[in-house]
Parts: sequence; structure tokens; C-alpha cells
Amino acid sequence: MRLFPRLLLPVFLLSLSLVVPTFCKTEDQHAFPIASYRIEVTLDTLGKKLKGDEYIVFVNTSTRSIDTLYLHLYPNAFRSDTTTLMRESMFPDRIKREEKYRGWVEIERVTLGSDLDWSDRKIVQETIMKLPLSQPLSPAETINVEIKFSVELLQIFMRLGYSNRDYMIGQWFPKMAVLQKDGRWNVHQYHSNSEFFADFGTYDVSITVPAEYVVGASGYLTDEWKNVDSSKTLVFRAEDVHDFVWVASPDFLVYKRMVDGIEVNFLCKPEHAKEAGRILDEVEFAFKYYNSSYGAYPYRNFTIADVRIGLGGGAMEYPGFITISLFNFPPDKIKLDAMVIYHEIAHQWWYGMVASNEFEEAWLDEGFAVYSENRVMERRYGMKANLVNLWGLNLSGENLTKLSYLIDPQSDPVVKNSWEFMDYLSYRACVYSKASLLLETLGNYMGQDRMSELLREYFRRYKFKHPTTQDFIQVTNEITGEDFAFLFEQILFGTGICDYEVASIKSEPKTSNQAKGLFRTEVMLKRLGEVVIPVDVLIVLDDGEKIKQNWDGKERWHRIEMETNSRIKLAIIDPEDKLALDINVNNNSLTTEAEDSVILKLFTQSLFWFEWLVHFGTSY
Amino acid sequence: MTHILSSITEGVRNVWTAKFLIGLMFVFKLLSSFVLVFPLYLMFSSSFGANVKASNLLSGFDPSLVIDFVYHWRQTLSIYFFMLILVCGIIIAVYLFLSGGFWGILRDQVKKKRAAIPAELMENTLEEFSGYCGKYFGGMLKISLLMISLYLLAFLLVLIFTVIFGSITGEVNIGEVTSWRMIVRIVIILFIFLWFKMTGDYMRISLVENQGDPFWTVIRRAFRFVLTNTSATLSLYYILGLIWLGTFLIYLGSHILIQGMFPAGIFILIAFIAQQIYAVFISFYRLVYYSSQLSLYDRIEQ
Repeated sequence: MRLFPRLLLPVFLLSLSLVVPTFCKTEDQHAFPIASYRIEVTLDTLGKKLKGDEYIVFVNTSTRSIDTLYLHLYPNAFRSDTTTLMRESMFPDRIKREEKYRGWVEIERVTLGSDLDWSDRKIVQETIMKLPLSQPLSPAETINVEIKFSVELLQIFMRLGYSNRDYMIGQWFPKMAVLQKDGRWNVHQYHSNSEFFADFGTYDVSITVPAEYVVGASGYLTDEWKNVDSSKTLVFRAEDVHDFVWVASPDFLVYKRMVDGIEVNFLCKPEHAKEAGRILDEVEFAFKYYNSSYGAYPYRNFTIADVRIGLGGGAMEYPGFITISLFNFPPDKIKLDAMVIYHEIAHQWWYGMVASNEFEEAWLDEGFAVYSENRVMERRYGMKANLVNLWGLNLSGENLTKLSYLIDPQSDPVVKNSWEFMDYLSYRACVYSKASLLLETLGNYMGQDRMSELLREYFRRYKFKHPTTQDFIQVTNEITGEDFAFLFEQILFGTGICDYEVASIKSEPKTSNQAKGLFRTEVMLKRLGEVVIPVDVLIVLDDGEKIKQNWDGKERWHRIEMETNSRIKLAIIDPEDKLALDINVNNNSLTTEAEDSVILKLFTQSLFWFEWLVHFGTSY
Repeated sequence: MTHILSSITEGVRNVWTAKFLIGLMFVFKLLSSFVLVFPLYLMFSSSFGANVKASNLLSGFDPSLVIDFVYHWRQTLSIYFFMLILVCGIIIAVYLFLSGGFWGILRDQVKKKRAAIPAELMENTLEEFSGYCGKYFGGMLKISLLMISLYLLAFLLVLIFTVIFGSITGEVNIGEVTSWRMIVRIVIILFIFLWFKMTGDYMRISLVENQGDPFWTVIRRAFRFVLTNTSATLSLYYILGLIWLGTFLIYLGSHILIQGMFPAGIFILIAFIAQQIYAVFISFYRLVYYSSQLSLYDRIEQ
């Protein structure tokens, strides 16, 4: 291992301190580096270990002095089968107990400030390390932390580990927790239903691996050399990011493509080499869409790694880096690969740059990523059947989102600590799907152009920052000039569902002489769900006349009565399908002309399929 | 080969002579299907009967309507699926009862043919059919229970084969349906399952041909017959299978062909008639399977 010379440490710290004011002045272009890291790590492929030296420069950006530092030790989540992560994980206990899924980080030495050995003062509580300071750290003051650590690797579980000769190294190094403006630490254990939250900074990471290994990482390669012990060291630098991941395998093939000035690297397993062109096409499409829709990707490169899935880890986002595990489906019929790629790349914007707190408000990255991914799917593969088009069965990304929402729409609100959701299905339904449907509903109500403007402005304003739900609501209200708080309040903080129904329609001839030839038409509307959203109602008469009305939805029911020249033909609530959140679109309309042919078709088709069922059921 | 082709033609002729079996088989399947589909019809009617957007379903599959349909009826559907399993169980039991009649009558046809009985005297009655149903029910039940264990054995063989094949040729991707590895795998798996299924047919033949013999003697004879006449039994089975596959492809092709040629209402009607004609054919063809195998058994045993 080529250790970072101690003599150069002051130079590194000095360079960061010089950089800080520069970044401050141009904060639109760069992040303020609150927590910056220089790490030298060696991968021991025989012992399945990492050995590292880490130098952290941390700035107190809060308004108060602090007397403690908090760091995350994420690999400790795999120390036993009773850790928070393992307890919450949905994998069977039988698997969680297996020795191959044991891993941890050992903190061998901690030095604070000017060579003050603090190793004995550290307090480790599972995945959190507390470091009491000898003297308070004042606002705007900087502290240097030096940590020597080693990580015992496990078979890939979630985001860390190895699988044969492949290594996925995510959430691996001691990492600063986030210090809030009010001087309180935002620090949580590594939970199963949660991702992460960290401050921006600069990462200079030297990775030493056996010479035959191919390494992909966040950031760009600045230097590379061979060592005398048949290993090699690669130095990566990532600026304006809040995490650093790397993967290594001797089997990776590297494919490159320039997209909008970004160097895209695809690290591909040999068995998937023939898919490389297709994968890079999808990446290119996604980048072009997001660059033009939300704002330019500011980094010079991007890496996508094809990893073995293990127990998770196959579709993960990191700054400038994503992982995928290619599916074995025919890609022209089932476009799951494309969907995953669009989703993870969307996270470069919603997580990577607009870095919300994934512990506590995960919808701000997952919901936005699902919404973005669905828009790209529609743009690239059409509105319908853009995900599955197989033997007459078709499904769009939007359909899948709705399906996922309907699995558990009511157990939890969207805004909630990720680990406090009832279970993973509820977390998925709310944070991914309901949130995405909310954004779609919002877009339908405000118009797609204004929605694009909203997302562009939200990105511009909060790039390299940590916006909250309230920040998004504020931008929405500013852009639209309307108060959408009622919508966000119900959908994000409530568990109600949205369901409108046309309960009945009728027209009766008026009997009085003066009104002869006129009809008394009545439409009964009902709100079956708790969510109140104004809706449009379209009434069509037999003579073709169309009448549009609007109902504020505040009452549980609403009767529309009118005098018409002919009988009512049909009534539709939400005729333009704006309400993506409506839980049942089948009750959104009524017609006097029964759809007999539809029922006949469904009946005859079902009958035939049941005849086959009986045929095969009795042919054993 | 002559034996086999003759068995098929004789099988077809015998089934045609006992046409009422086709009717019975078809009516049984139609009624059973109707029982299964009726609750769904009520749900369809309630959800799509007066729904303007339901017309989307005329031109194809509209997932948004179907997803909401499933969500809306989720509790009813779970009860429905429970009912489906129960009713399927009853249907299988009823078919077990009826199968004694099918095999018995077709066996009679073969015997009468051998005895050169005039065609006008070859007609069977429903009374005879019912008699055979009752007479062979016990044996058919035992064979069906035995078949469950044989299918488990077949499943085990498939697993062993898959592991060995995979270790020799490497793992195969689900998407590579046209690769030789996948084709060979599917063909061999089908072969294993169909061999056991065919053996089940010969057990039933042995049962109706050897009335009064102990059950295990019947089974032993069936296995001995299949194993000593492997090429003949397999050839007959696969020739019949290929003809069936051909008719299915013709049906499927014609269904796709007429799609879009007619307005929705007329297409539904034409498709329904075509489906039911095909359902009648399938009933007929299953009896041809039975009858042809009976004929082959008779020829070889003679």
C-alpha cells in the first residue's frame, strides 16, 4: 500500500481551505465542501478485506459550537444477525444467520486535530461512532480527523461485499453524519428501508487492487501506477459529491461513449458484452433527456457497472455512478433494463445533486426518480406498452407505478422516517409510487410546460443543497402562483385515498306545457376516498351537446341538476385523466348505452380460457 | 408404422361411431367453464357494463382498467380464487367418474370392430356409459392418485436433468428461447412429462382391458406394455401430438387473421363460434387419443 505521505497532509488541507471560499462564491456551480475526504484503501482479495487510511476535513456550518462529531460506520450493519439492518431486512432469518453475510469495520486509530490520539474516546453504537471533542468546534471552524480502519468484507448484501471475484464497495468508509444548521446532528442507524444522507465535499481516493483488476468508481481517474507487489493503484477524484463508491473485478470489459460532453463508462461482464451498445444507447437517451429537462449534469464522467446481484446491490445509485444487473428478458419485449437505467440515472439529479434527506424524506429522491423514469419511458417507447409488450399483454411504466401503489396505498403517509413504514411494500407504495403519481397529478393540473419549469427551477435552486418537502412546496407555489398546499398536505402527510365516482345519471321529460320537449337531467357524483381535489365533469347529451362542469369535491356527494334539450348519454368525472392518483378509474364514468360488446368479449374470452383450464386440468 | 397409422384411423372411426361421447365431453367442459366464469361475468358487468372507458378493452388489453378492476374486487377475487380451487377439485372428480365411461365405451368399440359386428349394432347407449362410469371409478381414482406420485418423480427427474445439463452446457438465460440449449432443454423436459402422461393412459387401458385383475397387476401390465413397445407407443403419442399442435397453430393463425377484419361486435361473435368449434374439436381429439391407444394396445396384444 502506498500510504499518503503524512508530509503531504497539510498540503491537502491547505488546498481544501483555499478551495472553500472559491466554492462559496460560485455556489450555483459548485457545492460548499462541508465534509471532504482523502482515502487510501487497499483491497485484499485473498483475505476479503479492505485496509484504509482516511483524512477528513470537516467544517462546522451550523450556527452553534459543537462538542461532538458523529460518523457512520455502515459496514457494522453486517456484524451480526441482530443489528438494526439485519432485524429489519426482509430476507429470511436462515439467510441472515449465514456466516458469509458477516462483515464489519474496525477502527484501529482515530486522530483528531493536531495529532491528538482519540482512539480510546470513541463510542461506537452499531453503525454510529461518536467522537467527543476536547474543545468545542465553533461555527465556520474546521477540524481534521484521521482514521485508520479495516473492513471485513461479506458476500454482497445490500451494497457491500464480494461475489466470486467481483467486488462492490458501497457504504464502506467511516463517513461524517450531517450537522444541521441548528447544531443538531442528523444521524441514524443503517436501516433496511432507508438510504442515506450526507454533506457535499471533495473525495480523493487511492484504490490499490491486484494488477489484473478493472476498477470503476465515482469521480474521474487522475493517476494510476503499478506497484512492485503486482498490484496497482488508481487515484480517483470526485468533486461536489456526497458519497463515493467503487467496484472491482478482473472480468469487467470497459465500453466508453461521449454523451453531451460526459464520458460514459460501461463496465460490463463478458457474458453481457453483446448488450453493451444497447445499454449505452439507453444511458445516452436518459442523459440527453435529463440534461435538457432539468439542467446540465455537471460532472465530467459517469460510470455504469454491471454487477452480480447478490442480496441487493443490483440497481443502486451513487454520485456519478450506478449499478445494474441485467435481466434475462428479451429486451424488445420487456424493457426492465431500460427502466432501471432511467431510474438510477434520474437519481443523479434527485439524490446526487438535489440531495434530500433520504433517511427522513425519501420521496424527494425516489418519487422524483420514478416520475422522471416514467417520462423517459414515454418519450423513448411511447405512452402505452412502453415497459412490457409480450403476447398481447402490455404494460407501461406508469401502469407499474399504479400497480405498486395499489399494493398498499393506505398504511403510511409518504413523508415519514423510512424505517418507520409498516413494511417494505408500504414504503415502496408510498415513497416510490404514490409520490410519483402525485407529481404526475400535479403536472396534469398545472400543465406539462409549467411542470417542466417547476422541476428546472427546483433543480437550479437546490443543486448541491439539501431541500426539504417544504422547499419543494414553496417552489411549486411560486412557479404556479397558486397554493397547492392542500394537495401536498393530503397526499404527503395523510393516508387517504383518492376515488371519485359517477354514481348515477338520468334524464326525465318535463311534463309542464311550457317545458315540453325539455328534460330534467341529473348526475350524481360521489367522493369515495378521503382526498379532496377539484375535478372536472363532462356531460354529453344524446344530441351531441357537451357540458363541462367543475366540482370542488369538498362534500361527499354532489348532484348536478339541469334542464337539457335531450337526454343524457354519458357523464365522465376527470375526463382528461388528470387524477393519476384516482384509485379506481372504472367508476369514473357512466353511460346509458351499456357496453354490451365489452362484457360479451370478456365473457366469451374467459369462457374459452376456462375451457382450456378444464381441458388441461383433466388431462393428467 | 402401419400399426400406428391404422390405430389412428381406427381410433377416429371408433370415436365417430360413438359420437355422443364427443357431445358429453364438450358439454362437460362447457358447463364446468360456465360455472367458473359466471362470478367473473358479474364482476365484469358491474365494472365495465356502463363504463365509457371500457370500450378500450374492445381493441385490446388496457392495463389501467384491469389494474383498477383487480384492486376494486380484490377481496371478492380472493374468495373467488378459493372457490375456483374447490370447484376445480369437484370438476376433476366428476371427470374421473366420467372417464370410466369414455374408456369403457371406446374399448367396446375396438372389441366390436375385431368381432366384425355390423355398424348398426355397434351403437352404445347412455346406460352402458353410466355403467362403465360406476364400474371403473375406483380404478380410475387409484390411477389418478398414482399419477400424482409419478408426476412428482417426473419433476425430480427434470430437476436432476436440468442440473446435469446445466453443468455440461452452462446456464441458459430465460430470454434465449431460440438457443439450442433452451430448445433441447424444453424438448427433454416435455418428453419426460409426456412419457409419464402416456403411461397413465396405458394404465387406464390396462384397467378396462383386464377387468377383475388386482390393481397392481394391472399397473405392472401397463408398464410392461409401454416398456416393451416403447417405439410404437411413443410414435403414436407424438404423431397425435404433432397433429394436435398443427390444428392449434391453424386455429391461432386464423384467429389472428380475422382480427381487425370485422367490426368489434361481429368479431366477438365469429371468434366465439370459432372458439367453441375448436373446443368441440379438442373434445373429439382427446377421445381420438384414447381410442387410438386402445386400438394399438389391442393390435399388439392380439
